[in-house]
Amino acid sequence: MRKFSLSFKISFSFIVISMATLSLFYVSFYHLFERKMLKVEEEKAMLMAQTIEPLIAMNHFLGLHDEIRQLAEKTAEHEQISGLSIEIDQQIIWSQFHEDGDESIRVTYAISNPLSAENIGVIGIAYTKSNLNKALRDIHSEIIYYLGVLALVFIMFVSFIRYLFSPFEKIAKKVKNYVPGSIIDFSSIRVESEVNSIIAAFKSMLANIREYTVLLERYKKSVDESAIVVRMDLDGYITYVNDEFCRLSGYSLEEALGISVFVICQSEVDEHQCADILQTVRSRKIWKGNLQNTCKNGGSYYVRATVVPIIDEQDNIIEFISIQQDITQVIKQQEKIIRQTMDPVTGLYNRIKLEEDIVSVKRPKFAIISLDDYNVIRDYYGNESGRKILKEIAQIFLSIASIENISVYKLAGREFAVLGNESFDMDIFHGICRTLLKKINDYIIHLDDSTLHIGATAGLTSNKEHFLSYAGLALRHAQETRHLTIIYEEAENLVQRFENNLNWTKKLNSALKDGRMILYVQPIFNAKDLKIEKYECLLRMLDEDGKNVILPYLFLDIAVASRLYHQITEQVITISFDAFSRIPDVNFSINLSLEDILHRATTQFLKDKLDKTGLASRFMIEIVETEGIENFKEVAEFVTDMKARGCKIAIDDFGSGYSNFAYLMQLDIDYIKIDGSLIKAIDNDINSQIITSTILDFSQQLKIATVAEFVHSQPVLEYVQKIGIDYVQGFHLGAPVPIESLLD
Amino acid sequence: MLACQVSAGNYDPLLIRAQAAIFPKIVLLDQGLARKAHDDVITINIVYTAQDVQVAQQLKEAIEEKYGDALGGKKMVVSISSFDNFDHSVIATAYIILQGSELFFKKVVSHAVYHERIVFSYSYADFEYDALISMNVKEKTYIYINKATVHLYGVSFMPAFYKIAKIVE
Repeated sequence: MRKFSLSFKISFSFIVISMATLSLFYVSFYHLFERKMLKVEEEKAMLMAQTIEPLIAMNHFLGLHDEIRQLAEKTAEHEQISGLSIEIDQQIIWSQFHEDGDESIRVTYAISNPLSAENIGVIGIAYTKSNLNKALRDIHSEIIYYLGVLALVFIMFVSFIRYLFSPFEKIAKKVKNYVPGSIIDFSSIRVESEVNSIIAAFKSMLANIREYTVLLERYKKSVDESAIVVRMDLDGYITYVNDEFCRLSGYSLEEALGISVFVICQSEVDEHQCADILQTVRSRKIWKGNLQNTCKNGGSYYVRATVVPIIDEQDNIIEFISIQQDITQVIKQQEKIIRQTMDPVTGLYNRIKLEEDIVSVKRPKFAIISLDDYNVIRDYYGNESGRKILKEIAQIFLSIASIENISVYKLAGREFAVLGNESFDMDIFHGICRTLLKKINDYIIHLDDSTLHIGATAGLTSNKEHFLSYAGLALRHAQETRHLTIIYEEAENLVQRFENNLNWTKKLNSALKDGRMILYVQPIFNAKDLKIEKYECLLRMLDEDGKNVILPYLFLDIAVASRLYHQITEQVITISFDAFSRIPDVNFSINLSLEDILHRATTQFLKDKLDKTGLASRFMIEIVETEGIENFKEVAEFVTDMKARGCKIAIDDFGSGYSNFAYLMQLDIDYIKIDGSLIKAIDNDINSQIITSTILDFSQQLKIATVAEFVHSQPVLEYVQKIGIDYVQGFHLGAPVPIESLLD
Repeated sequence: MLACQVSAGNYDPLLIRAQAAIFPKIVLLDQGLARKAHDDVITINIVYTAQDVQVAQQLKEAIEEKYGDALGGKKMVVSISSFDNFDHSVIATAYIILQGSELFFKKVVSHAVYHERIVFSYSYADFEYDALISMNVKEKTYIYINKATVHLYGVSFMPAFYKIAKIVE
């Protein structure tokens, strides 16, 4: 039925309904008319019988049978009567029937005795249907005539309907060819009220379409401007790309068209991902995910892609559209962040990540685990071996972490950290740490042809606010007391120590404010002629009474932990430079730790002081050796800078445990100060002699001068002179004295 | 034989026989017959002039021959009376008057009209003397009713009778 027009349907319906109605009326009327006519004819026949019956009865009564026959003859002559019979007293008085083309109506009527009303006979009349048939034929003719007229009316009606609907067809043709953005001219269409309403509705719809088209164009422009747009056919071949795609991929629009999306997949993994994308969108689902795409020049970029199947009105997929966001920078940033939060050697998260993670743990359990003999082994076997050890130990941490739901981290140097959340109580966490320590202690390290064990010690705490310092204190306390583990909160003397630290912090603050940080100087002699070559400035603190001198080993660690350290360093620089600027031609040195070198404000302060005083040529920096391999670059830059200014550089306490020859080779240093622990018994201890000899040999090859510290006796002095040490320092030759004594 | 016998007057023997057959039946058609037949006896009185006594007798015999002594389920008595001996005290159910003078007719007719009795005449020409019914036989049988006297007699017949009879003005 859809292929027929509405006008045809209306006309057809009207005709069918009309024909059906007329046919019904016709059939009903025809049969009613026929019945009525038949009845009328019967009544007429009956009336005729009724008319002649009394005459026949009377004539018969009177014995006038001739009269009866004459009456019958006369009656039979009637044109509508095709037959007549009269039977009285069982004798047929008259009977005459004619052949008639039309069927006849036959009626009978009883003849009654006029006096007694007794039935004495019967009249039979055959009444022709000619009148009836003629009437019916007349009706047929009339109906055919009116049907002809009706057909004309129908034709006129159909034409009129088509005329009425013609504007709609014109509207349909115009709307059918409508393309968004074009204008439809309805002015040529005959306008009637209904048509006008429809045209108005179409105009309104077209206005809406224009509005939405403009909106869609804006959306498209917005998407094109803000995202990468790729359209693909059902096989994954590109059919459209926007400028952003061209800009990122390097393909022109012409080059991109027809390329399979598999071509721009970066790797085999991404090819599988592309296949997954096609499979997903072909099943009418939306795919979302990250992709790494290949540029024309072989480079790559990352996108966050949403691939949508486009489905037409017939529910068929016609194409796929991928809206992509360039997340290359985000990915690279994430990689950078990961690198920043990850230890490059072990692959474990570092302290930065630890400090992030612990924020989200309400009641953390925390431990610092330090590898006891790591520094010695590393110094002996080299950095590469040290890294190997750290990697292998990290695997032990990871294996435990995979079982116990703990997080493990790599801190500076030889220290690892373990973080447990609130699901652990301290006993369980302590048990995990002890398991870790046991595994580390049991672990056999193969280096060169040697097999080694590396011990470990742990400091634990459940304090969230001071987790690093408390665990560090516990660790150091454990190392000092040779315990495997110590829990900060359970170590009474540690708490006392912490309280002691607090008191020392107060004292340090007070000393700094009151100017009770003072310098002592200890002379450094030329080993050959024992003349004073320079002075090492040593920090001291006066107590509140100003009478007692407090040595730095009592407060320096506390100073570092309390962040007063840099103020103290600046105090040392200030006092020393002030003093030696007033003492001409005397060289001097101060000690700087790695914290000082890495502290930009401190180094800048030193540079300013050097620039102001012009004492660089007389000034030497003693860098306290640490394990700061990871900060080598900064240290090297500092050394280079200071050397450029004319300063001398010495490595202090060399051989005290962290000595690293490779480290020294890369730094342009002038002096190595051999640690007192090697010197103090060198006259007797064969090990000290071997190590010192090694250091000396190494230094001489690098043309680095050596200084022997802790020369506390004549035998020691003689020994170091004998082996060729360049400079000597110690109580045997000169104890530290207040710097003011030089001024005097 | 009847033709020979009635030849004494101007009478058609065939007509006489026809009247003998039909006139009694017309009596039966009188709707007031019940009150006119005393004791359920139909009396038909044939009135004649002296010269027609034979005819009257023949008519009487013809009627009796035709119907016997019963008519329409009633007893029937046919009598003859001459004008001279016409007895006004005797009231018949119907009268058949043979040919006669005007006076002769008026005498019987007035009596019949008075008593609402049917008067048959041999010839319808006698309708001028106010006879009510007559008949003739030619190519067919004709029954005549004198329209001028129908209301005068106050006699009413079955409607069909009027349809087969000829109404004479």
